[in-house]
Amino acid sequence: MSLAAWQSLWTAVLYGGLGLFAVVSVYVAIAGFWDIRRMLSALAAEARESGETSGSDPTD
Amino acid sequence: MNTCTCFRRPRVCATTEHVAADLSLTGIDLAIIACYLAGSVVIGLWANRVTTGLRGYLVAGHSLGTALSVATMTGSELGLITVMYQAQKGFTGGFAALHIGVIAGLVALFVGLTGLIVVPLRRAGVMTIPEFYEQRFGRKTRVLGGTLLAVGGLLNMGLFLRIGSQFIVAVSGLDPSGGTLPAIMTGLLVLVLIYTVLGGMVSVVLTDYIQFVVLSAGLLLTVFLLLQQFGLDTLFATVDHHLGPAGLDPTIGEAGFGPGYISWMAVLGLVSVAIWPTAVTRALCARDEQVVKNQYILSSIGFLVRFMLPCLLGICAFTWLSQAPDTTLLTSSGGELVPASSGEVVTHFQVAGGRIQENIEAFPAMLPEVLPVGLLGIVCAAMLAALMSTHDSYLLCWASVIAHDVIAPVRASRGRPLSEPGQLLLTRVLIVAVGLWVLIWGVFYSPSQDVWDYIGITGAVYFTGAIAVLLGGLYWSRASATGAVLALLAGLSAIVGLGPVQRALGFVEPIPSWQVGLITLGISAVAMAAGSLLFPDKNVGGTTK
Repeated sequence: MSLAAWQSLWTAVLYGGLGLFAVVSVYVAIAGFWDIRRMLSALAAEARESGETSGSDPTD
Repeated sequence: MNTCTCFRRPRVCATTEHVAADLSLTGIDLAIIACYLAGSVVIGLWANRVTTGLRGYLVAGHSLGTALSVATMTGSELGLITVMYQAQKGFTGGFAALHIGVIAGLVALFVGLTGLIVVPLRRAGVMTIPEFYEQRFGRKTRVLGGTLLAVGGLLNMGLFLRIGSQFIVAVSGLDPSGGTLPAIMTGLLVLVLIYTVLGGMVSVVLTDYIQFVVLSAGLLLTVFLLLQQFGLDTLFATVDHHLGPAGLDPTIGEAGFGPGYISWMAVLGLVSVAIWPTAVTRALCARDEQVVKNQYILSSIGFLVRFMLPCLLGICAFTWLSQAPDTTLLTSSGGELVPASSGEVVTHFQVAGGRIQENIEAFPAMLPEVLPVGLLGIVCAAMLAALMSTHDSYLLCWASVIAHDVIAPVRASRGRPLSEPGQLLLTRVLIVAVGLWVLIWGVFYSPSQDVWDYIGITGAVYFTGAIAVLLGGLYWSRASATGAVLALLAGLSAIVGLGPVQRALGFVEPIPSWQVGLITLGISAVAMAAGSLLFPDKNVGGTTK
């Protein structure tokens, strides 16, 4: 590969990578928030179940 | 004291003593950083309220969705240590160093599309990799695998805190002599320990999410501003002037790369995404197998960027130093520092007769000179976010391996099993112990090789054996417990890649770490195959031997 080709490749990789990362960052920032809510609900449900089993609620 | 004009922004400095005796950070910058640190700790502490049981503490109840998985994986794998060592690679290797990121991104994409290793591991329902060893090869393999994993991991993590503190010292302009470095290391460690010990994985995931948002915004903003300031053409011209073709073409060995190094990077790429426990733990936390695949496909961008952007920052730092007047670029020759000429790797630098600094400090030293007030605070907060998100994950990971895969199985085999609360308490105590180890190692050990190469070879102590054992265990029905044990032990030979070990063994010419790593990988693969064929398990295909 010529040096000009390497330069073009790294330029494309840099700008392509930056663009993709910006898009993924916005998606993760928004969708991640809803995932957190789901995770907390799941953990709370699990805590309730284990509380019922042991007779006390560990989140209290 | 006089006004120094050697930087873009005039600073007060004592030219005969220290290039920047005063703080580079303003009150606004410090306030932003303080708010961020306090916020992280408060949220981490709050997580303690919703964490119950060992499954919640270690793998967040297997409840992570795709976006949160990507955030926590990127947050923990894109640490300040990564930013620093890849900036160092960009500084010394130029654009050719970008190949590391490209390979890592492609490998992550391949793992995401095929589910190689991570999907069958998630299907097995285990919480750690050594737990799978026990399912497949028996308890002894689990304990051995867990021990080697802990040894490799603790050595690997040993420099994280030191490098993070070097960043803070360099970016703030503090004098690193005396107790400054240990004091910063201790302060950072205490903050991370507080919320990790209490909240476990839930705390880690929540703080990782915030850290991902701050980090990605800070990193993108920094790169955008630096590209505007320097211009990509100037960066290419500077690299070409100093490194020649080797600064663009990674197949040329002069900048420290070449075909062998590239092969080693492919191995490290696979390891980073599918073998390294902190990354694999994210797959094991996922809700289901499809989430695992999506997580890796999306994270491939993160794996590309975690190497690519810091490399670019290192190239910017090199260009900044090349343009700054009164700057001397130095190289190490025969144990002494001499001015570097074109084509030679710059190991140190000196600005305006000030303190001689290591090349890894170039990137943080550049930031106060090129970023405006306020933005510098945001970027520093982003870098601290990177440091904390990596530390919390690693502390939890190694502590849980020692507790869950070494101590608990040994006690169980002696008829004194640990209760679940007992394991939780032990994990918390070990998190603190691992933190103290990192602090002590960081104070006393100074690496004689590039930090990335140090990290690669210390990780190899574990992963060269683990690659053979995981691939064999998951995809080869004839893989036996004896083969697994031999492969894991063979991986220990990677320790020869460390500079002090080579000197102790009397090697005159140092062997590059990538050569040691590839040879160790080959030995481990042969050990796995030979051991399995010569000493097959009695119950082939069974689950517990």
